[in-house]
Amino acid sequence: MSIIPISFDSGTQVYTMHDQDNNHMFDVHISELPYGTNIDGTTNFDQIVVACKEPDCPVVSWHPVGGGAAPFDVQIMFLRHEFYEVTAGPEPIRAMVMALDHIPDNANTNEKITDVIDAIHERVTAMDGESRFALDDDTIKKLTVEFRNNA
Amino acid sequence: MVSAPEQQSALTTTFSNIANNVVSQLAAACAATDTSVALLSGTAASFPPAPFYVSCEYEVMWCTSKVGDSLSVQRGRDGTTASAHPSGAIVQIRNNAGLFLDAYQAIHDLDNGVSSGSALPADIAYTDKVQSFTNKTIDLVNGNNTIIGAVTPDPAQLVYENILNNGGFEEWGYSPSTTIAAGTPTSGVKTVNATTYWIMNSTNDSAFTVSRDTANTDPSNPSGTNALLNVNTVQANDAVTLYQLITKGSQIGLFDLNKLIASPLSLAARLKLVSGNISVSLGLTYWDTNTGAHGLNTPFTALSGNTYATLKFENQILISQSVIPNGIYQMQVALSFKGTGQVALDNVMLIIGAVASIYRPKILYRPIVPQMNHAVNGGFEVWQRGTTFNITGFTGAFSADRWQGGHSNSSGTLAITADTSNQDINAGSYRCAAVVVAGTTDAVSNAALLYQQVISTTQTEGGELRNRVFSFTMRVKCSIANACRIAIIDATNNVTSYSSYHSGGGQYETLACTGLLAYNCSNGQIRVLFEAAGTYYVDNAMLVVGEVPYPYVPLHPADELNRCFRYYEPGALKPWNGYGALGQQVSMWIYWKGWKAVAPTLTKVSAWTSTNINGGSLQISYNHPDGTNIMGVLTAAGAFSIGPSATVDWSAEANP
Repeated sequence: MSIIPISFDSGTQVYTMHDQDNNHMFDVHISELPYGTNIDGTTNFDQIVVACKEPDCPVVSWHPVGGGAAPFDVQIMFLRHEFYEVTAGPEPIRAMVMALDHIPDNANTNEKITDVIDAIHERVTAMDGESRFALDDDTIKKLTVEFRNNA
Repeated sequence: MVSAPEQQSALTTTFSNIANNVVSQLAAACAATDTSVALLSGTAASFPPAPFYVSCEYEVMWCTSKVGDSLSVQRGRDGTTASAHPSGAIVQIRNNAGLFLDAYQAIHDLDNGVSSGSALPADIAYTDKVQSFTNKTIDLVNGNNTIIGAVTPDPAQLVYENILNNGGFEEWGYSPSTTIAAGTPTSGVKTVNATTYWIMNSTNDSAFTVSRDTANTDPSNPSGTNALLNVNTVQANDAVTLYQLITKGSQIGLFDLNKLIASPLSLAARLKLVSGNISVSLGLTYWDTNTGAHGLNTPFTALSGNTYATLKFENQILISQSVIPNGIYQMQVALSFKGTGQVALDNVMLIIGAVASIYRPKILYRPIVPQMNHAVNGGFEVWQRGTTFNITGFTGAFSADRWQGGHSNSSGTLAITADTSNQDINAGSYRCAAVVVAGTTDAVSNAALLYQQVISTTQTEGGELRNRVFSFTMRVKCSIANACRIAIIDATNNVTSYSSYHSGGGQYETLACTGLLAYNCSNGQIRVLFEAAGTYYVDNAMLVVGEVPYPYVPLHPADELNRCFRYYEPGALKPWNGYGALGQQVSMWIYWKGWKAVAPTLTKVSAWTSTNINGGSLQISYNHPDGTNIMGVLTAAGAFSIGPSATVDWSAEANP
């Protein structure tokens, strides 16, 4: 079992997570979800680390960009996380993500949204193959609106 | 012995009647031109009835009638010359040449006529007689498959194989009665299994029930049961249909449908109108991957009377010679009904041939190698995540491996437990899933269910299963009537094929359904639905390709566990020791026991024990279907170790 996203408050940018192993529920701001670490110590942008915030709980989940245990919800989490980083993330992470997603410095909000979606889509496909990307057009439209509102 | 007049009436040649010892005399002289001669009084009685040859002196005459002692005659016959005869001349029947020549000529004409065929009698339809043909070859059709006459083959001599299964409605593997309730005028087509091999559908606000019946069996063929259909169609263009699918790769061979190309098909069904006014149409349809569906139907025919009648659809070339053989993937035989009333249906027979045959049952020889179960952990034997789960609302949380659950009512709950007391023991089960459903629960907005995703967006996981018909069976025990059923759902196309409901009899029953997961399906599921609060036991799910439901066949436990490892796997850290420098990064590989469907989420579930490792630096760096990498940074130069920590230190979860 895993720690999986249950709900998201787009106004506060806070996720409610469920630690399925211990049935712990906790809230975490999207900025508190770090990328993983490669074996050479560099940032692994294809991994998000979610640690249970319940005191003394050791459970940590390393989610891959393909979605792993929960493809639909985890891929959305990557999209939100990526968009947060390119719009409000701290340097130098923001610059690294902008470069990773091929987003120009002068890109406007719509371009950032499109580039982030395309980038995550490509990385999902690269990891798990064609058609692993689980988000349908309606979901993408809703996320686009959400991102515009938060930009 | 026949009399002479009867002989004459049966012949086309007029022969002379004859008699022995016939002699008289002329009562008066006659001229050569007279056509009537008078005999002595009272002597003509010895002459036979006309016509006959009669001789007087050297002349042979042909008597055409005899009245009293007067003979009407044609003169100068049989090669003689008409001449005058005196009174008292002898008149008698002799062995004149004409008696023999007439017979010789008739035999000669008959010989020629038989040889040329002109002397054969005209075709006669013996409508009131039974005709027996022994040692005869009877050609019922000509070279163009045109039927010569209406023929009822002798069932003892002509043997056809019924292409249809359960055409006699003797098998009722689902439920003894299945109803599709009336919807709205625009609610569309609803489909459900009626009985073994037969599927029923209804359109819009039509209602349709198919029931097992023994009170209206077909008396003309041996039959134990029939199907009793309650039909109620509302819209003029709507009908309800009972149909059977014949799909390659299941009860017939992979390319057997190709054998129907350019072959005549004949369908016969026995129907009896029990009540009401109902008309019926027979139909044959096939599907081609290149060009879609192609069908032939009879017009709707009104049923009448309260006795069985045979409806036929004969000599139909359903699949033309121009069809590309390997594109044919499915064929359907359908009976569609319109109207309101009750119909008894029995003994449906489909043959390859130009003339419909009387019913014969088909015995299906199941393959020796059992079908592969496409439901993972169908027996609910593998519970790697635990044995007790409580699900509130529709979370899709996993319980037994590969089985997810949810309650459409956000406050509704499912308590799912690995149960070793109520399993389907007759099938050799060790565990089942006990499901306790609570909260407001119904069939629509508050439905509760367990489900398994068979096809997802990930093409490598189930992609090859698309565009196939599946049959899904499951063993269910409950004590609530009409509350539990199973389904195959193509969520992409919003098509659901349901089984009938469990009767609520408190015993295990086999529920079964058959449905198509279409070529574009990206979310194909099998489901067991709980439509009322209560306790249910589910076990032995079997999902096979084809329209034939198959009894559950377990995998070897090792194989089943390996299947489950593909999606979920818990593990313990292996002892790992070494030496290193301060700040040195060390790493350890973990290889999964089973190659994952996708890159998994790895979850650390215990406090990993370590020495000389910065606990905060313990990370996994690598999500991959075949394994991962755990790394850490030494806090001092010298020996370090990681794990083991607990029975389960991590889990890898990969859900396509």
